Amino acid sequence: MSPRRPETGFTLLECLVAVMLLSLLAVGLAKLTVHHDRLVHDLEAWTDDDPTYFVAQADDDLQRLVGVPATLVTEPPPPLSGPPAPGALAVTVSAVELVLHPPQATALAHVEDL
Amino acid sequence: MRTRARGFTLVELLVGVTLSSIIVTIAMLGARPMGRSTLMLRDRARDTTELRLAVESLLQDLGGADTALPTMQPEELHLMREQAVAELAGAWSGGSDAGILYSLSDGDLRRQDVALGTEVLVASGLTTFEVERVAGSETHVTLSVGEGLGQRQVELVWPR
Repeated sequence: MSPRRPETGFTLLECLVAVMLLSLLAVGLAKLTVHHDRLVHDLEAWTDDDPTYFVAQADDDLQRLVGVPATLVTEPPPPLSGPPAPGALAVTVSAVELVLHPPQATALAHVEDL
Repeated sequence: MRTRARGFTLVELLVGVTLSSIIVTIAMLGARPMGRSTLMLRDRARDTTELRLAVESLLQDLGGADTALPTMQPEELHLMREQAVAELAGAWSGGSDAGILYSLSDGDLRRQDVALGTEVLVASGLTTFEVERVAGSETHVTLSVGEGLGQRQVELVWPR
């Protein structure tokens, strides 16, 4: 007949430490998952939109000349303003200077009402 | 008095290893969707960047354009510059500007300056580049990247 082996279990302290460590691990994983889900949701909401934009040109001949890009607007832009009526103004341009990089233009002009 | 040292039995070890394996498996299964969505977001960020490059290039040319019209080809856009803009770019010849041609081929959006004889790759990975003249007064340009749930689309309206 074999002698009976002494039975030993975990102490209460050991069990509490193990449960606490597992809980910390689970909380950390859950927080990470929730944060990631929120990030994915926000990014999907941002990129899932299929917008329609109107292309608006600069309403200035000189700006278009020096290469100012068009912009995107959500409402139809007004038509480009035409040149002033003939004979309304007398404009005398004495000097024009264009710089491509960065886009810049200066002009020396004299405008007179007729 | 010396206490008797005692280790784990084989059964206890097997139970411990089995439980650990189950926990690790569950954790890996939980992390797999996160990995998938991370890859999806990476692809979407790349696609959005390509789309942005295409739109920026179009806006640069449309800023000084006189007309923007479709051609006989389904995925082509032909821009004509204003005379002053074309003259400044050295593209005004024989009383007209041969213009700029945007075309999509195998996902690559290319910009060809017909007048200057140059061609550049604007963006890649585009799935759609549709040009349509609507009511004779507007040109609609639709660009898209990605497929299925990851598709991203932008429509530009040229109101002239």
